[in-house]
Amino acid sequence: MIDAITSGLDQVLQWETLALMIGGMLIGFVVGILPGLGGAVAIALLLPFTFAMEPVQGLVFLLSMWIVTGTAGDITSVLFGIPGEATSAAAVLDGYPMTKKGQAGRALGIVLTSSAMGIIFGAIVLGVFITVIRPLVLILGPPEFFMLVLLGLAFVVTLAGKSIAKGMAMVALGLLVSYVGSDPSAGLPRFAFDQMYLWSGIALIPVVVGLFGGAEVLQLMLTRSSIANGPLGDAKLTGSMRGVTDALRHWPVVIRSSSIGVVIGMLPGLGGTVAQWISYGQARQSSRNPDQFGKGAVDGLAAAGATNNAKDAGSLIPTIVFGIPGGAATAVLLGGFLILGIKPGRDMLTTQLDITFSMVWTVIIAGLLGVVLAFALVRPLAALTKISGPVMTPILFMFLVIGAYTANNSWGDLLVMIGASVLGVVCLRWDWPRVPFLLALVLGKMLEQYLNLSNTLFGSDWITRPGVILIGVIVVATLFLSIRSLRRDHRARLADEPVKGACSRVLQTIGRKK
Amino acid sequence: MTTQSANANRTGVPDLVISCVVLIICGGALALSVTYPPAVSLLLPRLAAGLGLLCATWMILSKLISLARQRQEAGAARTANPVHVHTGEISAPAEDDDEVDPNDAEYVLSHTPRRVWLTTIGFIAGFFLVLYLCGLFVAAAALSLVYLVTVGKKSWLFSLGYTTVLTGLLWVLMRWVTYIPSPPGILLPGG
Repeated sequence: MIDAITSGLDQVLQWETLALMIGGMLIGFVVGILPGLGGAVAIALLLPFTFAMEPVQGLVFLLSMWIVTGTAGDITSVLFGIPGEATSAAAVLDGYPMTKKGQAGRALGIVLTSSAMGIIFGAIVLGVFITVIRPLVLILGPPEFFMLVLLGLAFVVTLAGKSIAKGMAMVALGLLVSYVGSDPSAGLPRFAFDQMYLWSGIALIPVVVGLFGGAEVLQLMLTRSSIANGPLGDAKLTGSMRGVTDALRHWPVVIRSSSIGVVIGMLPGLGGTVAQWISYGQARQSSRNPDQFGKGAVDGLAAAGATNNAKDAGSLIPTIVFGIPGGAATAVLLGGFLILGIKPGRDMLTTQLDITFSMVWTVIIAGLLGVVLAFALVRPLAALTKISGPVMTPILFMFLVIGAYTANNSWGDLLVMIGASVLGVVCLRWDWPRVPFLLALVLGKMLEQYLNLSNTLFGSDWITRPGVILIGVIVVATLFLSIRSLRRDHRARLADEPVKGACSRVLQTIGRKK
Repeated sequence: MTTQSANANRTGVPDLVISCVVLIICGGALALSVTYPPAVSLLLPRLAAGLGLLCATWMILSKLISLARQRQEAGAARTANPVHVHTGEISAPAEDDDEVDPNDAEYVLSHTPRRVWLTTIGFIAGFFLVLYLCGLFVAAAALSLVYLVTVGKKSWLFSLGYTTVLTGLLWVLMRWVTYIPSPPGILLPGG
C-alpha cells in the first residue's frame, strides 16, 4: 500500500508529467471560466492529444484539466453572477451579492479556500476508501437512488425562501420542464408540441446560464454601473485574506459540505449539480443566520465551494472501482482511461494500485495548484468587477450566448436561455425562488428513471428495502427540520413587522413572549 | 389608500398574476397528459402538474383574501382619519428608501426608468436579430461598437479598438483553439 502511494507520487512528479499537468490546468482554467464549456467538453476536445502519451501522463493531463474547471467555474459565479459550470450555480447565490457590495476579493477568498479544503478532503476519501467502498456502493440499487433523489427534492423546502407555496409551485414547474421530451419507458414524446428540438428534452446548461447569468447581465445593463459599487478592500484582511480566514472559521460547514459532495459525487447519475444544492440546503438549515442566505452568507458560499471540488474526487471512486462514471465528465474521462490502456475495476485496486494513487496525487496537486493560480489572479480578477458596466456588457453577453449555444449547438438552446432569463428576471423582481425550479429540473428526470427501474426490477417490493426505509426516514427528518426552521423564521419576521390583523397580533404577542 | 395596502397591492397583484400563469401551465399540462396513449409514463408529470395546480390555487386564494382584507382596512382607515392617512402616504417611501439596498436586484428591476428598460430591451432584441441574420461574430462586433458608443459614451477610437479585440479573441477562441461551432446567420453562415 505504502509502496503504491509513493510510487504514484513519484510517477506524477516526473518533469514531463508535471509540465503536462500545468498545461492541462491552464486549459482547464480557461474552460472553467467560459460558461457552458464544462469539463466533459474539454476532456472530449483534448482526448486525441493523449493518444501518444504514457498512461500516467495522459491521465494526469486529463484529470488536472478537469479538476481545475470546477475551481475556475466558481470564479465567474462570484464575480459576474454567471456560473462557469452548471455545478457552480450555488456559488452565485451568495458570492455575487458579496461582489456587488465590493467584497469580491473576500468572496473569492472564501470560495477558493473552501475549494482547496474540499479537494484535500475529497482526495483523502478517494485514497482511503477506494479499497473498502466497493461493497458499500454495491448495496445501493435503483430504489435507493430514487430515495436519494427524493432527499435532494426535500431540500427544496429549505431553499424555497419566505413562501413554501411559491417554492413548491416552482418545483412543479421545474419538474414539468424536466419531463419535456421522450418518456423513459415507451420512448414517446411528451409535451414536445411537435418540435424535434424538444424530443431530447430541455438542456440544463442554457437554463442555468439564463436563469442566473441572464438576469444578472440584464441588471448590469439597467444600472449601467460597474458590478461592484463598494471599495475593493485593502490589501490586508479586508480582501481575499479575510475570505481565507472566513472559510477556515467555517470549517464545520466546509467538512459537512465536502462529505456531501464526496458521497453524492460517488453515486452514479446524481452528480455535482444535485450535490451543490443539497449541500447549500444543509448549510442554510444549520446556519445561525439563515436570513443571510442569498444575500452574501459566508457559510453558504463556503458550502458551495467545498462541494464543487469534493464531488469530483467522489465521482472518481465508482469510475475507478466499477468503471461506472459518476457523471458526464467522468464518462468522457472513462473513455480516456480506456484509450490510454487503463482498465477500471479489480486491477486498479490490486496490480495497478500505483496508477490509482497517481490519480489521487493528481487531484491533490492539480487542485491545490489551481487554487494557488486563482489566488494569484484574485486582485486582477476582482478588479474586473470595477470596470464600467457598458464595457463589461458585450463580453458577458458573449459568455451567455456561447454558454447556451454549446449545449447542443442549436438555436433552440438560445431560445431556452432567453426564456430562462425572463423567468430569472420575473423571479428576482417579484421574489419567487429560482433554486427550487432548477433543482426540480435537475432531479425530475432522474426521479422518473429510478422509479421506472425500481418498479421494473422489484415491483412494489422495493419500498420495503432497508436502504429505502433508512433514506425515507432521513427524507422525513429533513422535511420536518426544514418546515420547523421555516416556521421559526416566519414567526421571527412576524414579530418584527407592523401589526396587520387580529391573527397577526396574536402571533406577534406569542413571538415576543417566546 | 395607505402605504401598507399600496405595498400589499404592489406585491400581491404580480403574485396573483404569476400564480394564474402557473395554474394555466399546470392545468394545460394535466389536460394534455390525458391525450397521450397509455404507453407513455405520465405518473410523475401528472403528480407535478397536480402539485402546481394545488400550490397555484392556494396562492391565488390566499392573495385574493389578503388583498380584499387590505382594501377593507384601507377603506376603514380612510373614512376614520383621512389627514393621517395622507401624511403616512408621503412619509413612508422616504423611510423605505433608507432601508433599501440600491444593489438589490428587486430594487434595480423595479426602480429603473421606463426609458432605460426600453433601450436595454431594444439592444437585446437588436443583438439577437443581428445574430439570427449575420451570425455571432458580426453580432458581437455590432453590439460592442454601438453599445459602447451610445450607452457607454466611449470615444469612437476606444470602441473600435475594444470591438476589434473582442471579436478577434472570440474568433481565435472559437475557430482556432476550441473549434466550437458558433450560431450561424441565415445571411452570413460564417459570420
